Amino acid sequence: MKLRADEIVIAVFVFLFLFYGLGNLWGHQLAHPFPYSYQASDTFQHQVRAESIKVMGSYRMEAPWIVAGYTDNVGFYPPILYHLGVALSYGSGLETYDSTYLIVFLFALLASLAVYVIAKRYTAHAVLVLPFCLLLFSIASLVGFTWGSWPSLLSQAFLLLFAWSILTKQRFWISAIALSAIALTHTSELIFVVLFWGALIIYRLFKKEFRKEDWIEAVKTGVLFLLISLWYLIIFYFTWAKAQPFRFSVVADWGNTPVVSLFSLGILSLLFILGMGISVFKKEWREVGILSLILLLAGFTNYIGFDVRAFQLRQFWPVYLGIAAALGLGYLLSLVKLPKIASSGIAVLLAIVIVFGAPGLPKMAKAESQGIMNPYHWEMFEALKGLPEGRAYFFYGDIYGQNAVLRNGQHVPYMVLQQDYIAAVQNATVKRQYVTRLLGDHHGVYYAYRKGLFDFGYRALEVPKDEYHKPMDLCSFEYVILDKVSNQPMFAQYNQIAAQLLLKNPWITPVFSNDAAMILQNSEPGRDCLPQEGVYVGS
Amino acid sequence: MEAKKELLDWGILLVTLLLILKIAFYKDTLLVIFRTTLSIFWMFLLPGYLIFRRKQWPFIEKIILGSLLAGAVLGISSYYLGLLGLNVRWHVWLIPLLVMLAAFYFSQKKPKAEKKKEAEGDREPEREESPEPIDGHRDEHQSQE
Repeated sequence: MKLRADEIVIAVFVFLFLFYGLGNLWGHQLAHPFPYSYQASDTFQHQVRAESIKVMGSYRMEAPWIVAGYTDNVGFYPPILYHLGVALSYGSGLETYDSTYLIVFLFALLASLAVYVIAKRYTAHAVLVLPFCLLLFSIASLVGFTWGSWPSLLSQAFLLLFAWSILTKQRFWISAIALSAIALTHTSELIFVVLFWGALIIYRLFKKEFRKEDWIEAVKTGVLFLLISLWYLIIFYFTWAKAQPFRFSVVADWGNTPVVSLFSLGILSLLFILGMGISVFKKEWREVGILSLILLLAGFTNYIGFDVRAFQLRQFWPVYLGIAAALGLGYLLSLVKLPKIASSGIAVLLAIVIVFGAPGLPKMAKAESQGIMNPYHWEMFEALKGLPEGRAYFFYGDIYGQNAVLRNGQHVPYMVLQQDYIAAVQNATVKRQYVTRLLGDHHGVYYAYRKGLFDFGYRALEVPKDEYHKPMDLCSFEYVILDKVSNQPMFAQYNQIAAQLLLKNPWITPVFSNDAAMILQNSEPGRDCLPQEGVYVGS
Repeated sequence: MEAKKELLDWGILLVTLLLILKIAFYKDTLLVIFRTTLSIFWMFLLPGYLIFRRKQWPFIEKIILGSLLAGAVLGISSYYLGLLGLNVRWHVWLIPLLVMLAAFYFSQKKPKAEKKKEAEGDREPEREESPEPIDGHRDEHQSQE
């Protein structure tokens, strides 16, 4: 068996990707005892939804603990990520919080290898694209994973499958499935697909290479795509598209989220520019040049109204721009007439440099991070999950600011408004009524429910405006969750005092307690558990 | 001969992936690594490869592109089967199996062009060649196929 140079480089790349990329981030473990490296609310949003689908058996409806207790809300989020996560969970035995996250990395790896296949059509030095893909683990790209742009990243892997199918003129059903996968993973990526496909068709028309058969294939692709995606696209239209219609919104930054820029690619961006430049003059490279160029320009559409979607696309720039950079570097190698085997050596060398770093070059961020969750709070959420149905009231906790995490208890979560809580702490009063937020995933789609095939209602628009944000009686909740530890010791102390006051009532009992948090169960919700005016606990 | 080569390729791929995963996630037990690797094979690699089995592409390319396509098919089918009432717990076993059966069935069917050639008396089956890189360097791997 003769081992081939490209395959050795691919094996080295896969190793570096998994060992120094994902392995480092995940503490060199696939199976964790709690959600690991989850660094923002959105990550929990996805993990909880995948788990809810596993619990419910399908994604016909949203789980009540995701949508403020409603039981009729249609499953509105593009579903593919969650279904793949659940399937991998059943197959591998991993928990959904690990399997869903793993799917995102696995497909980012496949996408990186797919650009190698795409580049191979244009250059014999295609392996040079692989080291650039390791920059998916550079800081600005990595936040796409750790902060939860998971559906967008997965969708972009399917975007590359579509791009390959169009560039190589595959059968229409392959393009249609890829297109449907994009729509059902993160629908907004379709805009970038249309830009690329449109530009390619125009180019081929210009070159008189887009013939009648190509039109027929394109139409067949579109028709099959619609047939496959129609059910979800109807939901999308009446939820996301209705609640968040396209608004011209120019943004220059993404709040606190690091944004990938050409500068962040360092001097490697020069290779990209070289590759792009040559593809203008070298007509054989123009089509793949169009792919890189469109996805480069699409990353700047935040300046022409596409909002943060452009920034999500940029998180995959190392992969998209890697193609052009590999073409550029490959061109330089062909000028000095190095044998093809040299590109394999250079690819491995470049990959090692990107892993370990060198002056002037971007590198992988190799920081292991446990993330927001910890074993103690996870134990609390697991305990809450096992308790009978009821509304759960969360007092202040350091990790609860990323509030999608609270859905892990699988009880409808309510949370004290932080400002009101802080005021109560300052006044040394345990109140009976706090301004309270009924939490749920409604900001996108107003808790949409289905009345007919093309008829949707919106719970959030049918109730008073303060329904999800108003003073509520602490005594009316079945469960109260209080943290015992905090970065602000005063808050932990306040929570402990509140717990002691509540536990003076014999119908309120502790049903769970560990070093970090406790759950109190109120077996008679509505009964007076504190005086109406609250209890002054100052000295 | 071709089947033997395929089996050898699969064996190398399985061992390589198991080794890489075991090293990258060395804190996990072998059981976790084994189950995860086999699941990835079952869900993506095997069905994906079978979809493109007839293509005259290098083994690794069939795996890469096929896995992406198999992932798309699994995700889409799982969503709709769930809506139709089949619990998601069965999808991981059922859908890849159906994809593999369908891929195998269609790979046995001769393409129209091939049938036409045979009707014309040409017995050489039509195979789709992996394209030569446009910059003129034929890949050493491709030339071996």
